[in-house]
Amino acid sequence: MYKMMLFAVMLLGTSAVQAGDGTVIDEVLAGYQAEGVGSFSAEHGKEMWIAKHEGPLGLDGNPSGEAFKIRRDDEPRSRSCQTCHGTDLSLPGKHWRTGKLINPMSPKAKPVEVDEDDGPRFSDKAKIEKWFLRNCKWTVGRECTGQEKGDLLSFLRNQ
Amino acid sequence: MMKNSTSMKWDLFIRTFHWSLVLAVLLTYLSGEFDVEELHGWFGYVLLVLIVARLIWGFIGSINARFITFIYSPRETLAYIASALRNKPIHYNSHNPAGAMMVFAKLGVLIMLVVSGLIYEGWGEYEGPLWSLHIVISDQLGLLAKHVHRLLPELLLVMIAMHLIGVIVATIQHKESFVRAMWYGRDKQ
Amino acid sequence: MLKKIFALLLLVFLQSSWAFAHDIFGFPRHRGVEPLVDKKYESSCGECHFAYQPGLLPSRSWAKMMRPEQLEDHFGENAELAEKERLYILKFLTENGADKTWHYKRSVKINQSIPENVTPLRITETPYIKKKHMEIPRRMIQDNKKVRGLSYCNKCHTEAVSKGQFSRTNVDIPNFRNWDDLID
Repeated sequence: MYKMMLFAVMLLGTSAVQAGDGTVIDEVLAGYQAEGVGSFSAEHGKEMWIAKHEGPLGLDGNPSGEAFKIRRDDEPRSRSCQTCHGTDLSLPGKHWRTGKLINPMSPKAKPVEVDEDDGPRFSDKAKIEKWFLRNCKWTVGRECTGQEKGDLLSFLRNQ
Repeated sequence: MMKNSTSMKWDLFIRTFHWSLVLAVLLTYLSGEFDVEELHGWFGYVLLVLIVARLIWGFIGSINARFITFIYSPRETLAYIASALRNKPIHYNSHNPAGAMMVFAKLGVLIMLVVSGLIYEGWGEYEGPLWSLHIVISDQLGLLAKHVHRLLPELLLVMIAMHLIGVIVATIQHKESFVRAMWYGRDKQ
Repeated sequence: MLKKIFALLLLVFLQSSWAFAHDIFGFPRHRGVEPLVDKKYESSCGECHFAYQPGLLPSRSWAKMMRPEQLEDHFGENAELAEKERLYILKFLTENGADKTWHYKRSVKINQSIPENVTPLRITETPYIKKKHMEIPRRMIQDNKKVRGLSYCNKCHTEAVSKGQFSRTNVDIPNFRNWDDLID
């Protein structure tokens, strides 16, 4: 019994370590490759990360009521990943509208908002896909392709 | 009916009303101050009932309780104040003109407090009779009621202080125990 | 034995009269909204903003907000969810909407203030909330860099997140700690 428990603890321990060490990213990348993507380019991922997109800004594009309108000087001129995640990936980002802090994108950086259920960066497949869907549509105006998502992940995992 | 009917100053209704009002005002004020909303509302209704009863009694009650007996002309009021300042106050069976002024002023403020409370409750809290009756209240009126309801209690406190001072002064000047009269109905046994 | 039965009956009686008073007088009621916490709701919605308690809007509002096309344009942001998650959150929100409780005062009032033919998507546009904040000057909310808007409940309502409490007594407006003296 004691041995079994020890084994279970060890198993848990290793899985926790695994979550942060990029195995999930590997799985996700393998998934894109299974859909027909060849190789990934961290270089292209970086370009995408900093690329600016003209888009309807929340203020004018939406019949937002007075309440959620943000101050004019806080309004971004264009949209990019950096609008919310900031320029330094080791530092926390800030939701451009709500101001809520976003944990740093770098897997090595220390999270600021610690939620007991939240693993480290890129440790939850569903979460990765949820945010790719939301953020690609907001930033670029469409869903990202498997190639693009793979490129972005390849860039971000080594930051 | 009564052997010494002239010395019966305040009837049973007036005495019950007076001390119930003291208690109700105290509880309403405290529950409002400490933000116990539900109780504040209920005490407010108690006040409403007391005031309505007093208004009715002011027409059908015993002679000293009737409003008609203590409505004085400004001249009479000034004359009374002048006599009180000379420390030779004119004697009245019912309220003296200064006291009468205080009675009407306090009743007025209490009515305004209850009405503004009802209006605010119906407008901003979505509760109470006005809300139940679907009476539409404009924002201006609602806000006005809110301000009135916030400011008048301060005025009421000042008036209560004046009332207490008035009672003390009158007790000394008239050599008559007003507190005793308000409790037993007459100032001497 | 008899004593125990008597005690039990007494307990039942007290319990039922309590519930009766509760239903008839709405008293005693909880002062805020139900401080419900759901891990999935927290992670799906609370990552971007304060996870507004379900009791802050009626169920029909939540049902509308959780439609896929609404989530795609969620006040200008994209808040899409995987279908399974979306249905879970939809259920959580609609089952606990402001119209589903009698015991949480703020929820009851928010719900009562909304005309039946209206389905607001913004908590700040419900008449009750609007009236409650009507007299707060812009410099304290919209032009206050530390607040920025009425939507950021928890910037001033210090017990909004943890207890679902929105009483005057636990309001602390950043940069305007003496707001109570300034407004009245």
